[in-house]
Amino acid sequence: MPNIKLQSSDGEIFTVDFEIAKSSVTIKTMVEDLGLEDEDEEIVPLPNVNSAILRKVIQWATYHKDDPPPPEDDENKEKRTDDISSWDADFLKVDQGTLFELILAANYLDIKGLLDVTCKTVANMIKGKSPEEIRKTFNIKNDFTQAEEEQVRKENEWCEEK
Amino acid sequence: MTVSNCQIPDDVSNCQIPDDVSNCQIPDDVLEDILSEKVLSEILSHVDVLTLLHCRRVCKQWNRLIDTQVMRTKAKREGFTRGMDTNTQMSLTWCTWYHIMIPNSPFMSNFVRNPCGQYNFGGWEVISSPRKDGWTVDWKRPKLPTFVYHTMIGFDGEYGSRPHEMQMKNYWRSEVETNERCFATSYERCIKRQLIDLRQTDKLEYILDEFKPTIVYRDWYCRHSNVAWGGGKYVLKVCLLDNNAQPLAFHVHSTWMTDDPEWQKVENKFEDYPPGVRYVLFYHEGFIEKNGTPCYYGPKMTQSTVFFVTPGIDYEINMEGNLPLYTREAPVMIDTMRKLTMCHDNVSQQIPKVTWFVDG
Repeated sequence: MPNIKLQSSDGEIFTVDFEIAKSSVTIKTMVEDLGLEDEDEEIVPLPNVNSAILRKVIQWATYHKDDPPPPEDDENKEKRTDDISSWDADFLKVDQGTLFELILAANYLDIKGLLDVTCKTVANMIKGKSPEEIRKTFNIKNDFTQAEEEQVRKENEWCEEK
Repeated sequence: MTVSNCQIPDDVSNCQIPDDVSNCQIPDDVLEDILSEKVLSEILSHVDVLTLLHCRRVCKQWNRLIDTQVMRTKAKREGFTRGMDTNTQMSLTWCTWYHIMIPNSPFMSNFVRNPCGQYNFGGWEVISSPRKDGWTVDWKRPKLPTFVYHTMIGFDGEYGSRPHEMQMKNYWRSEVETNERCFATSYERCIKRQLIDLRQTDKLEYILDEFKPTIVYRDWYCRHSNVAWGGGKYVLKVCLLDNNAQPLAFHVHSTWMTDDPEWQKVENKFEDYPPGVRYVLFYHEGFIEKNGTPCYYGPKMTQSTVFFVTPGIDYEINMEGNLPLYTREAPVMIDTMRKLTMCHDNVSQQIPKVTWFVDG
């Protein structure tokens, strides 16, 4: 079964090499569970991913198709958070909305490599920022009362003490 | 069910979310929230630990996630939980995780200053020496064999079962220090010691009392290669002291040099020690009978190490090639009211009187 058809939430159909689509554990499981391997015309619906995002995901998976399989959750291996390849960095030069949609899609489709690199990208946007800057960046409302905020600040201070 | 009351599984990635959501007890909107919190935790666990403190202040949700999940997830990903039992993993607070992961973590440092004599005797106090030059720093010691090096960088070899020893601060590595150095003693008794002050921060005191982390010490010793004149007795004493410099726990290792000119390891640990440990005293002694030849024929030492093991990790002392603990009782104290001053980066710092230590 060389190709598989994926349907985005807005109805667009993408024909993808199954070897590439398999990087999504969700799609791989779906195909195996539904026994679609022998049928050419079956379409896999992906109601949580729109066509713009699905196109990006396929582009990413195609570029990374020859990557070694991601290691199992291996505690014994140290992983760095700032090692984003230049191709990935270019690929992720998108607006914040798209970036978050890619994260949700990677999570839904269960593509570990894409989830890692998109999360790292957002983490890098947080790195070194003050609480107020972080709130501003992600449009988050500060819901602490003054007393609560003071409490957290004190806890932090104890930790930061030199 | 409001979201804030929602029980988020500790490890969402292992959470079984049924294929058919309609049969699931969790309402759709909450499920959605769990998923998005899973993603948020994932994102935050890639943020550096110092910035995570700022993130704790952003909003209640971030605060809760960081305290209950993110720190642990991050520690797990970065290898800090290797060898740690699950109960400990679940019971450590965000604050402890923070201290395990910060760049200057007390769990990743060798507390002994100048462990190989790379700064001559900086950090050490030479308290007994038959002559002014009773001690020296030796540049031409025998090279450490490869197997020793491997034992040194990992706890059980090159890829030891514990993380981060290779990154341990102030830790000797042969590939870094090409001019391998050691301390060497001349004839008669040569003593030097270093008092390690653990009162650096409130946190360190808190960690010591709260977790009583296993304190591991290690040293390497070697005889002089001269068959006729080299040899002598090697003594290592390590003592845990309280705030008044009174001993709380005490270990002695001692051996007469055999003919083996290779470096030998001595390693042991303190566990379940009484609360209130504030200093570690690291004491070296070399002894060889005066033989008329004023040369450094006595025992040599290097790579003195004292470090804390991360809470929940069981550090096993490998006795193979290790010098056993000398079980004789601690010697009586004679060194009364002695003011011990230590050199802190060229600044002498007054530390409490040590009234106990001696030598018998």
